[in-house]
Amino acid sequence: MSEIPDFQAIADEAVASIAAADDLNALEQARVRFVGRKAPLTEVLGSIGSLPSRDRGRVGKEGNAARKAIEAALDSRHAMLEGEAMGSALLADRADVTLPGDHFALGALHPITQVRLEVEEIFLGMGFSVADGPEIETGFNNFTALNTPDGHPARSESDTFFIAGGEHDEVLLRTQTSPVQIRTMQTTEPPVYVIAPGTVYRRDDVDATHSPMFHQVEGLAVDEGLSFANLKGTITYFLQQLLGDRDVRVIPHFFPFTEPSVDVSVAWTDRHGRTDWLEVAGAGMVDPNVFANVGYDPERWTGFAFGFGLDRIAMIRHQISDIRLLYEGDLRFLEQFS
Amino acid sequence: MKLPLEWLREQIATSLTDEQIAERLTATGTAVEKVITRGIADTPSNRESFLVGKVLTCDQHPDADRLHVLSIDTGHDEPRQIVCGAPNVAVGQTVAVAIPGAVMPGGQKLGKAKLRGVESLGMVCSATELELADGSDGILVLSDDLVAGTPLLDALPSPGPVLELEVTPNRGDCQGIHGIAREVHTITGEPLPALDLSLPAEDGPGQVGDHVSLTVEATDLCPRYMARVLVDVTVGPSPDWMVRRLEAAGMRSINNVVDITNYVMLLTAQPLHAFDLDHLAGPAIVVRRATDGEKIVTLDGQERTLGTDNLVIADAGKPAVIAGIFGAEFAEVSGSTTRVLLEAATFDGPNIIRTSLGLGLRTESSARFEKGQPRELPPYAMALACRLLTDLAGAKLVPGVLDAHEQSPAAPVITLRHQRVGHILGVDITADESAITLERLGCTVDRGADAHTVTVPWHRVADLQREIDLIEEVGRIHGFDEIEALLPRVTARARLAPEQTIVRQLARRAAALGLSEAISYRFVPEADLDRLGIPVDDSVRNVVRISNALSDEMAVMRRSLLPGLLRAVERNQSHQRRDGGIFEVGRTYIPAADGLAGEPEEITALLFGAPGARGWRQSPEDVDVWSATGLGIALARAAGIEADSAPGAEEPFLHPVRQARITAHGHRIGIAGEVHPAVLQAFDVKGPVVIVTLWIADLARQRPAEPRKYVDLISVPVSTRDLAVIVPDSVPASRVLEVVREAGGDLVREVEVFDHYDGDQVPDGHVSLAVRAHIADPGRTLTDDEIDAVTDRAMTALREAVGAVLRS
Repeated sequence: MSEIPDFQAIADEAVASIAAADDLNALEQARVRFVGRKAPLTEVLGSIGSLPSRDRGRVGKEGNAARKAIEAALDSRHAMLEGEAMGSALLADRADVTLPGDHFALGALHPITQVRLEVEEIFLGMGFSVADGPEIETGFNNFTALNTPDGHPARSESDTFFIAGGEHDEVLLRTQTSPVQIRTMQTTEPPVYVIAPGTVYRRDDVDATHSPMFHQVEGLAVDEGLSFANLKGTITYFLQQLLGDRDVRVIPHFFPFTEPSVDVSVAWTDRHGRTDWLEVAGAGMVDPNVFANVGYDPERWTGFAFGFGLDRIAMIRHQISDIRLLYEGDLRFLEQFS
Repeated sequence: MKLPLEWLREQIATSLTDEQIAERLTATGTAVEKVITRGIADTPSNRESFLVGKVLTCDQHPDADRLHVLSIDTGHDEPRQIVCGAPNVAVGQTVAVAIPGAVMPGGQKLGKAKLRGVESLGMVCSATELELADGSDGILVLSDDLVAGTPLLDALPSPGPVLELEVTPNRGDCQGIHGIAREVHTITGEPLPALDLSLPAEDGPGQVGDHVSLTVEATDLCPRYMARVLVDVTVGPSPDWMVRRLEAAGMRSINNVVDITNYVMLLTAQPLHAFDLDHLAGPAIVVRRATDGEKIVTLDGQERTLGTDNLVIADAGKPAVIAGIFGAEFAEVSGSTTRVLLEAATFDGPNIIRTSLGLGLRTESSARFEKGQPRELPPYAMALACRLLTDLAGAKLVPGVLDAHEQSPAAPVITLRHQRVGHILGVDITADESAITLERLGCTVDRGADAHTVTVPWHRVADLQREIDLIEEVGRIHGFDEIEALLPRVTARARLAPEQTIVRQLARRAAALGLSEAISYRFVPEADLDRLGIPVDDSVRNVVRISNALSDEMAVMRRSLLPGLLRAVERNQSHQRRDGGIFEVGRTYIPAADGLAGEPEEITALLFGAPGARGWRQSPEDVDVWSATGLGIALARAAGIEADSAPGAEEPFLHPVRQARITAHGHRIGIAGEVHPAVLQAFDVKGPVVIVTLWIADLARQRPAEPRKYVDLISVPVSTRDLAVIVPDSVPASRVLEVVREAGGDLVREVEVFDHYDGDQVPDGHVSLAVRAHIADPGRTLTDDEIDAVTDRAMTALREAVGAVLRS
């Protein structure tokens, strides 16, 4: 070896070849050619010991610089070609993202249950407990103790389901959740703050707006110093929590077991944009007779009671026009509420 | 009740507008359900665009057989061309014309139109289009003496707005227009003229007792019966103003005598009855209970059978009226009537209700008697009716009155404490304000510093009995909208019972697992018990029975949630839904000795077909017994309960050998399994269907008192070892797991089955079971030797306890 190679020229040629390599195979050939074991540059650098000592420094320095430049070019070209290869492989694996994704089976609580749970949460947050009572009730608890005496039309066979063979007292399917008031007051001393959600029964034929079985929530508060203002405050807060911040109206009405009694409505805008009062609940101050029936002193304790239908609220809220849908177990209906 | 506002304004001259009357009545307790406006609105523009017209010419339309082209004089300079399709149109008629700009009663505005190429500058109206009638043939033809161009509103006065009121059951006094007028008086303080008790001249022949006798036998059901006799009565049509008022109030005009009784009732709330005295045998009036099986043919032509609970007004022989409800044809006033017996009576409200319900007959009259009318009211109604009969039917009033009258209850005298008013209502109302309100309502108030002494007027005795009743009156007139809404300071502590928490946990878990909640009717057909295969002597056959069920399909209270869910499956399958999950949380009803029922609550979850995620690349498998047990365990776990499946369930409605008990700590908390094919067939359901039922009370008993404690499976390595054994198939898998667990002591954290096989390589009567034990000591890392020792112990135990052979 008499001549020192032109390292710059080698490097330039190699870089040009590397740049021209358009796939990983061509790049490998370039690597073998320029920095492989038998490549001229490799051989020069391998035989540096046989060079005259004055050339060794320069050859080593320039040769290694050339090698580094070539390897850098190889690496970057390799990274680029690999990226391109992966890119095209990915492109070949195109997915139609408009095909439906995997299904996850979604169940739903019944819309009535969903409303009931919300109602319970609101009242639990206000300090009301959730009470419970039997659906098969005595005439006393369902009517008499609530100021609805014998002979009242609500107690007739055409309005109320009676249980056959009730011997000592009239036994019936409760027509309201109000008897839970009586049971609660018979077994606890005031103060009382409870709601009682439950299933009730009235002898209506089934049609789009009537069901012989439906759901109510009863509320009862008895304490010292409770007034009509507290009734209004409680029912207004509750309805605004449940149905949104809308106007609430109370107007006088009549119920046998409260006095004064009121009808409670919320301002509601229908789908035609008309706003009207929508009656949602009945309420009132507990009648002193009811307190007397359960042994509370009406001079010391005052209280209020309210009741409303869960079916009705669920139907209003979800724009369900036929009450029968609630009781048919049709998954096309139920699964909409998941 | 329908309240024509012009009639109300006749009773009380009030400065309130129609809108204010509606708003204030609603706010004080007489809810206005709607405002009915009939006819064309009385606006300046409508006075110019609804006009009387005269038909000058009437020619056939050139291009339409059924249309005519009219020329009409509407008082303008030029006749008006109008195209008309009515069959009864003719030259010379006086008609009602609406010209462009008119707003029809429905609200639409009339414009010019072209009908089949001919211009029409208005419309000739029918009575229906003007809302003067509910149906009419052709156009309305008016009286010829009307002048063309007269505003129609002057020629045909509009009936004006009518309020549809909801009168609450405690307010019998508001079932008459005068009672509503008293409400307006109480609201505004504007003067209310009293009802007039004056009678017309009693110039009829003889005395009333010469014409008829009165006997009230059933004084308990008829506290007052008043009768007067009028002679020389001319029955004929009523004057227009009376007809209009009756129709606006929702009643039809019959003849002047009947109309007067209805008119007086609408005004005073006191129903009256007019008899043709010449058709009463005796002539006598006997107020008595009907005899058992006694018959009456009522005015609607129906024969009705009465009983001793029904009160009748009879003549000497037979019933002429079902008291307070409906009359018989023979004694009614007709065109030939000249002598009238007029009844004004008071009947027992509850008895009227029972009779009315029993006969399915409710009338304007019975609706008023139901609420119990005061016995002071009849003289007022009687006086007004007599005045009207002499004025409008030429009647002569026979002197004297028959009046059988029980003692009225004393008017209540009530102490109203000022402090109590504020205490109940939560608002300061002055003693003066409450006194004024009560006085306007008709009370006499003796004002006091701490309390008023209040005497209730006769027309409110039925509902004003106690201090609280007066407080309600003061409050409602003050206005509930004026009372501030204040949240109470709740002094109780809220909580949920364990059962309530469990129900919430399980329902939410079931929904999270893809099942949807159904609510079924709790009353079911008794035949469900047969469909479920419940043996005839089983205690489950003991059901709560409804005595007045709507149908056999709703005859008994359910003993199981399964039939309701199976019916839901049937319904879903009927519209090609092949798979799904449904659950229900609810009570079953077990008759109890005290006549009431035990009402245990349960959750039943049902899977049918191959539920779960299904898509273009997902296909779940059909359910079987293990779907049911697994679901049961997952549900119980939601309440913090570790459950197992165990043999020993024997429910007739489940597959005899593919059902399990679900247990916790060895106690049964539920059942799970495949629904028996015979049951599926009985409910017309296609299998597979599996269910799990968990009883809430049993879950509550097994629910851990403490929250779950964390077990460290993270900081110490857990090793797994697999054991594959062949055991006789009589050995339950749970026993194999139990043996491994016991052999490992505290070191075996968990054991699971990961393979089960009973194919070719397994000897007959045996199964191959592969179990995986997770082994760890919470305190330290175990050596391999220690772990192997555990599996050796387990294998030995399996050999000894269940005859297991290690599978090679």
